[in-house]
Amino acid sequence: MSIPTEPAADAAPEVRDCCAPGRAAFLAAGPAQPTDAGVTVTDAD
Amino acid sequence: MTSGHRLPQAAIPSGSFVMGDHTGDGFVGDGETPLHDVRIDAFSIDTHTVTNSAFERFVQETGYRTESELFGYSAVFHLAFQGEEEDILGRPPQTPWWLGVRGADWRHPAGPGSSIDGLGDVPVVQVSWNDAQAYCRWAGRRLPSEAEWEYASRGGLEGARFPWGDELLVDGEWNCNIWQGDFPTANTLEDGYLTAAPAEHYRPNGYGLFQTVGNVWEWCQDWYDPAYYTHSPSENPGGPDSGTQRVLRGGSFLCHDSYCNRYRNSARSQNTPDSAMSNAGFRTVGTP
Repeated sequence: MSIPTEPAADAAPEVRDCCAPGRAAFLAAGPAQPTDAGVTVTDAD
Repeated sequence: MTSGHRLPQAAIPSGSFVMGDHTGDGFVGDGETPLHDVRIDAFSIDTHTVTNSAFERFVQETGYRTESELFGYSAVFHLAFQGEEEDILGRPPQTPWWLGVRGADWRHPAGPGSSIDGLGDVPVVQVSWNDAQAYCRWAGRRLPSEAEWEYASRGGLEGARFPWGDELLVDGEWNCNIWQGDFPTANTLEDGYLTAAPAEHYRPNGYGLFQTVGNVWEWCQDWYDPAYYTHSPSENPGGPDSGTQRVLRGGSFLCHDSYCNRYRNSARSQNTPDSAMSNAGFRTVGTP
C-alpha cells in the first residue's frame, strides 16, 4: 500500500486529518472477519 | 474519595479566560473561533492523564471490559503495530496509517503482540469515551468539560498557543511529544518518542499539569459541535445537548504541521464515543 507523505494540495481540512477515524470506519475498510469477541465483523458495503 | 484513583491533583481556581484560537492556527472547520469570554468555577484536575497502572486498578476492582475488548479490535498507528498481518482488519483509505487491529486493547495498545509490561506510568490508551465514563464512575470523578480542559491547559497564560507560551521549543528543547520528520512514514524522534511518553514527562504548565498538548488526545465530556462557540453560554459551558461525537483535546504524538497542528491549547477534535485508538486517553476532574 502506498502511504502519502504529503496531503493533496486541494485537500479539504478533514482530508488533512491525521487523527484516527471512528470505529466503524475500520469495518467499512476491511473484509468480513471473525473477531476475538466472537462477533462477525461485516463489511459495511 | 474512597476509590483507587490516586493520581496527583491540581487545584484550578475559578476565573475567566478568552476561549478559542488567538493565533489563527486552527482549521476553520474545527470551530476554534469565535473567541469568547468564559467563566469557570473552581475544580480539581489530574496533573497527568490516567496511567496504565491506574486503569489496571480500576479493572482489577470492577472486572470492567473495555469496548475494544468487547468489539475485538481497535485502531493502531501503522509504525507501532505489533502483530500478524492477519490481525489487520482494515485500513481506511483516507488514513491508511491507521490500522483496525484485532486484539488491540488497553493491555495490547499496539496490537496482540504488544503489552503494557513496564509501562505502568504511561497513559492508558485504547480506551473509548464510554470506557472513560466507566472509570470516572468508579473514581467518583468526571471528565472535564471542553472549557475546563482549555482553561486548565492554558495554565494561567492568556491567549498563548501552547501551555508554556507561543514558541514550540523551550530553550531549544522539545517540551511535548509530537511528530518530527515526515508524517506518517519517518519519525526522527527528536522529542524522544514514537508513541506515548510517560505521563509526567516534559515540564508542567503553570498549574502543574503535564502534557495537556501532545502525547495522547484527551477525551472531554462534551458533545462536539463545530458551531458551538457561536452560541455557547459564558458561565461554565458544558457543550451541546446532543451529538454523535465527543470532544477530544490536546493532540498526540502523531501531530505534525503537515497534517494536523492540533497540539495547541485551543485545538479541537472529535470521535464517536465507542471509538478507541493508540493515541487517546483521558484525565479526570472533581470538586476542588
